[in-house]
Formats: sequence, C-alpha cells, structure tokens
Amino acid sequence: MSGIDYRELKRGGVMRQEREDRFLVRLHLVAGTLDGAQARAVAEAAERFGSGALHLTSRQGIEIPDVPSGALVALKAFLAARGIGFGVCGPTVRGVVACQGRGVCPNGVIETLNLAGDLDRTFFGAPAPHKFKIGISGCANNCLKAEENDLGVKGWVEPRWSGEGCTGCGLCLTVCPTKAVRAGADGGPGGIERARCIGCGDCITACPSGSMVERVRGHRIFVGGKLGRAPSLGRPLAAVLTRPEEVTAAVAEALEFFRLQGKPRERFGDTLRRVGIEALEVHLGALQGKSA
Amino acid sequence: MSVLVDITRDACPMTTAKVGMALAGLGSTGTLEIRLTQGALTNVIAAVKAQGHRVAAVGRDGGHFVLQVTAGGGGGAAAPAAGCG
Ligand code: SF4
Ligand code: SF4
Ligand code: SF4
Repeated sequence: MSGIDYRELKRGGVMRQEREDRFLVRLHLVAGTLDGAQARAVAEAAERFGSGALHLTSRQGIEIPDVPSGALVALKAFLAARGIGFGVCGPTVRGVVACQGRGVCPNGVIETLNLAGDLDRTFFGAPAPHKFKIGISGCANNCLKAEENDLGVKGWVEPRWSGEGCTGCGLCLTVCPTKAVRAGADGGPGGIERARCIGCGDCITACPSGSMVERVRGHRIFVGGKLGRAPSLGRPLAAVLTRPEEVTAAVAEALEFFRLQGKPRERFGDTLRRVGIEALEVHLGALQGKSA
Repeated sequence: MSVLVDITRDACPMTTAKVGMALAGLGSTGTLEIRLTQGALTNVIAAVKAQGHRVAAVGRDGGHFVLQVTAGGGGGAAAPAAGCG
C-alpha cells in the first residue's frame, strides 16, 4: 500500500473505500453509453479486479468497487485496451451526461449524443475552480435535468404568432403549461411572454391552423445549477443557440469565465451569484449576438 | 357521415392509439370527430397533423374538447412531436 499517491489516484477516478486497501473505480462514460463489447469488458473487469459487483451512479456512470491497490494499474490497462478510461474527481470538468435526444426519442428537439461526445472530447478533465458538470436534455421534458448541472443544455422551441389563418380557437392558450400565451380580444393569442415560455413548442403543435409558428429552435443554456448540500437550479442564458458548434464555443467561454472569476472550491452557481449572471452574459456577448 | 371517437376516459398511450386507428380508417375524404380531455390535446393534434390530416374546427363540450378532423390538407410533419414527458 505504501508509495500510493492518493491525490493522484483520486484525480483519476479512484476513491478510497471504508475498507482498508479497497478502492472504488469510477469509469469514464459519455452520455451513459457503452457498446456490447465494452459492457462485457466492464463486467469482466469487475470480476477479475474487484468483487464482481458494479454500481450505477446517478450521473449515468459505472463504478467498480472493491479493487485492491495492487490491481489498479492492471485494471486501468485492461479497460484502456477496450476504449474505456477512468473517470475524474476533484476540481475538473466531469463526464458529460445526456438523454437520448433527437434521432432516438420522438420528442427530441436537438441531437444530444453527438453533442455530448463533442463536449466531452473538448472539456472532459479540464481544470476548473471546482467540479463542473455538464448535462444535456433533448427537449423541454428535461429527462436529463439540465438545471441540476453547472452548465445544462436543453432542446428549445419558441413560438411566434403569425396571425395568418388564426380562427381564435384558443387552443394555444389552453395547452400552454405556463400561461406564456396571453389572451387576445377575439379568443386568440394577444402575445407571448418570453420570460414565461419554457420552450416546449406545445402551442405550435396544438395550433390547428398553423398560425403559431416556430420563432427559434435550438439549444438553451442553463448555468449555475447544482445539487449536493445546498441545491440550487441553473438559470437560463438569454440566447437560443441554433448550432451545436455555438454550444461548444459557449461552454468554452463559460469555463474561461469561471476560471477567471471563480474562487478555489467555489461552484459555478456561487460565482455567478457573487459576480452576477449579467457579467457572464457580457463575457459571452459576441456569441449571444449570433442567435435568437 | 362523421365518425366519433371518444377518448375522454382513456390515458396515454391508448388516446393516441385509438386516434391512430380511427385516422387510418379515415380515407382521403372522410371526417372524424374526436372528443378528448385538455391533457390529450397536444399529442392528439400532433398525431392528426403527422398523418397529413387537418383539424377543421375546435369545439368545447362541458369540460371536454371536440376536434372536427377532415382527411387530408394537413401540414404534414411540421409540428414538433409531443410526448408523455
Ligand atoms: S428530454 Fe426530451 S428528448 Fe430527452 S429523453 Fe426526455 S423526452 Fe426525449
Ligand atoms: S412554447 Fe410552450 S411554454 Fe412557450 S408559449 Fe408555447 S406552449 Fe407556452
Ligand atoms: S391555436 Fe392557432 S388558431 Fe387557435 S387561437 Fe391559437 S394561434 Fe389561433
């Protein structure tokens, strides 16, 4: 056991267990996705190097418990040969989580799995003042809980009332879950309150006449969410970014902002509360101008 | 003659399944009347549009809604899908 650098091991997703000389190894998965061969390799690794048990984490990850220190290097090599790395701990960007999104889920507004792959390739393990979690939900149903993350992305559709062909049936008002569609004089909509809109697109789907049309469709970014000891929900940035490349650029800028403004061991949401979310909007200014 | 489908006592996914069957039998000139609850509106209208039909009129009947569906003339796949959430 002597000669093991616990801090170095911890950065690499290895955590000391209660039991002497047993370690919990966190694997690096992206959007909780494995192919069959990898799944079999993980099962085999748990049997060969641990006690045979696997633990599924709350963030779509897998942990292998009960690995003795002497087996850590061999376990790492065994998994690396099958394209699976160790996870990370400490003040870093964690593995990116995502729902299935468009292409799998019929509700999906945005593609999520490729985006998760892009963000993970670009940012996984990057240093930050504190842990930094990224999560992606494909639509307003928000199965992946975007607002729980330091930076969440959510598929978003916002309406515009064209007026053309509107029969005044009032269905847009009826189906809107947040009463963002205001009543007009003739049974139809009198306007849309953007601050109340949750980007579900239901008013567009329900409108029988096609008068309610898409104003914008894309990615809405939520910043500063966390759970843990003092939970708080992420807040939306103003823009709706239409292209995934814009999301990657926005995450890079948000992380740079966090590194500049954040104090050590301060979560992103606490930094934003201290310096104001407006400061981040200003930092992102060039990006925000492009969309919505 | 208009066919009536009442899904006010059904829950998802039976609502859209029943509507889907009725729409399949609509042909190219028929009409269909769907009686439904507020909660089923978005999914049912999405299904009607996705199959290329049109909601020609919307009525209210007590606490329920009545959609008059006319075969054809719909907007196709333009609407985003809606789901159980
Ligand atoms: S958040 Fe939307 S796209 Fe993602 S799984 Fe849930 S319903 Fe599907
Ligand atoms: S998109 Fe959803 S929340 Fe926004 S106005 Fe339409 S129904 Fe309301
Ligand atoms: S649902 Fe469409 S047709 Fe009906 S009131 Fe709203 S905009 Fe007009």
